[in-house]
Amino acid sequence: MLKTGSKRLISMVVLMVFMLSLSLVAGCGTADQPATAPADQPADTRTVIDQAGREVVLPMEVNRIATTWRPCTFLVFAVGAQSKLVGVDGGSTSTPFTKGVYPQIADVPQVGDKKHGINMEELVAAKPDVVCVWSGKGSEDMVKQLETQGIPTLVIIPESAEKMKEATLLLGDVLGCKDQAQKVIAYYDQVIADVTERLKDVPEADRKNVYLAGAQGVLSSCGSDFYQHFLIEKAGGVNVAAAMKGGWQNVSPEQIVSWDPDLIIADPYCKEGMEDVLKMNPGLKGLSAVKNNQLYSFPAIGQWSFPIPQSAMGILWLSKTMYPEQFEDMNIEETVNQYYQDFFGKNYTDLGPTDLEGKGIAKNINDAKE
Amino acid sequence: MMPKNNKKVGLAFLLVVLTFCLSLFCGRYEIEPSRLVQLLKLAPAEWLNQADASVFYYIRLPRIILAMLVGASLSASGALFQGMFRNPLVSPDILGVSAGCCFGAAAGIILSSYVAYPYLIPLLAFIAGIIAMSLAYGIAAVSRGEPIVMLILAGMVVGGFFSAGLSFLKYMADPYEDLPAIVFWMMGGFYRANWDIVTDLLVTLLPCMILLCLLAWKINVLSLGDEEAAALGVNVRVFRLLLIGVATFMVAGSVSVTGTIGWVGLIIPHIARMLVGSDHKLVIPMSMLIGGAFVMLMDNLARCMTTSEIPISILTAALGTPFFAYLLIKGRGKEWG
Repeated sequence: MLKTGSKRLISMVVLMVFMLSLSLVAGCGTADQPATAPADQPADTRTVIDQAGREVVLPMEVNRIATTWRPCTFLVFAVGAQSKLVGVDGGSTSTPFTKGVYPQIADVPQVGDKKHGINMEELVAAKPDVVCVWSGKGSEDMVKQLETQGIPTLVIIPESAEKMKEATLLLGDVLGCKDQAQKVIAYYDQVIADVTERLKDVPEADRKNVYLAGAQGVLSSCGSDFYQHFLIEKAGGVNVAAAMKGGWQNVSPEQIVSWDPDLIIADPYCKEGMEDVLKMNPGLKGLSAVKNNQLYSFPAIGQWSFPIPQSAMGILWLSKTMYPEQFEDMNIEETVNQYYQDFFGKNYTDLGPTDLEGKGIAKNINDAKE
Repeated sequence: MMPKNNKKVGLAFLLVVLTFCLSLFCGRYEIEPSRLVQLLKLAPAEWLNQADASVFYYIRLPRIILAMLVGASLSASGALFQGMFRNPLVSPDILGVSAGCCFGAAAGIILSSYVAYPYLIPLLAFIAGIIAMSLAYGIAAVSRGEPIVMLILAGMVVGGFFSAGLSFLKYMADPYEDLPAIVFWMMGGFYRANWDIVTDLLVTLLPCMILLCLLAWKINVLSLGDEEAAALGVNVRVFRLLLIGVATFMVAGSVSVTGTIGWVGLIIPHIARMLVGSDHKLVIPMSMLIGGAFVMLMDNLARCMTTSEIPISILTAALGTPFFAYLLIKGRGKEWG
């Protein structure tokens, strides 16, 4: 017991030292410029390979970037290049996180998004050096139109942890923010290693079964092909819906009863309250999670369940929620604030009303959802 | 009576020209009116060399033309179906064409992972739309009963079948890549516009439109009912099939490029009929003109009202329906006897 306690202390110290070493990062300049371009290219351009494997010719120094969907906007923030945003996806100008960290975002034009289409003229008028687009499908027409306007596009696909890291490093490279990109990824890996270390003495049999209540309400969850599944795994939990495929899917109440999860955790996008669900499905009242009051909601600010480096905080929060004894020495509020202070120059708790305890699944808790 | 109605068609034509000119000036990319006049004189070789010229010629202009074409063809085919089926509730997707197109597009989106043909999605959508209509027509032809009722029922059956197929494809689709792309496609809009699409559509739709105008008097005869039409010496089966074929081409062509755009094909023919009466020689061209102008206007709003795009179907429904209601209240309601 003493042994695991001291190990935990060591990992804590390592984490603290690591975080202190970051404390001067917040924001990134254009200082670290990439290596020189090959000889057969104009001197002021260079070629990068995007995540679809396309060769993209970019200006040597990218100072204007436009994003067309939310996770990508958050990735630009993650590498500290938010001041280079000249166009963002609809709605990203007013989330508590983006607004709180970078108030000037209010003046950045919204160019539409993946769901509702892109306003091409608005996007071109923003004169971006490069536009980040989502993977292939549904974006071909946009890529083609931008080509005629001489604007290069960068395909970003942060769909798994590996791809997300790759995307972060790629954006860091393109935007001249390699340093912060590497640090934010290193920190992400560090958190996962720390969580694994803390949980290594929790036997398989005691691992918590988690039901993630998802985007379509409490009666929907995500299978093993979404990033949220990975979050649960890395946080040391078992996703009861792992066998499902196809992202968010509706789940029957009977199925939930047969899974009988130890915890029910609501994704930031879940807008339903547990009380209403129980009223309509009294059969769910017998669930262990309901009887033991093991109902939680993800903190609504910062998109911790997105495939972005900031999801490190999501893993930490999930793990602490499932195994509070393993995290007794950690003050989650301090850790999260330190993280946001280091990478975004602002305390997390100053971004808006948040509930880091996350107790309960209330209807209105995620009204401030991003 | 006649000359007055001809004048109305002339006015509608003027409206289309004016709307088109107005649309040229609308857009989120700021182009001064004086600069725009200069751009219009620019030689095609110069289009790509100047930033504002390339926006104007490669983003704005094809989009305006696409909106006009689609508006005109949806409205005209709506007018045709309403007239032929003698039913004011009919819209162009009555024979399951739209449902077929949506199914084809979804299949195309999923298959595009394996087939590298850039126009796979509209092509499959178009083909599936035609297949849907052929099925509906085939079912109606071999079934016993009043042909028009059978056609409408068969259309519902085929539409329902393809909708189920679409739901199945959505269920099976990859949630990261395919599903959002399918949902996005279904929403409909003109943001896909480029010259390839516009020229393809022009080649498909223009002959159909001309043919429809030329055959309009047959619709008058067909709308009298099968027996009367036959008594007047019109080969009902041949002409009905021909007209349905033409309209299906127009609907499938439009939907396969822009997705489903609601209400246009239902409302515009009514407006046209309220203006010029029930003679299809006038109703068809009038529907085309008003439809083209209406959709161009709605798309101007979709493009220009906010920095993001507003889905076009929201606008066509939200602005089209109150106007339609106004006409219903004000109108004399004589057109449908």
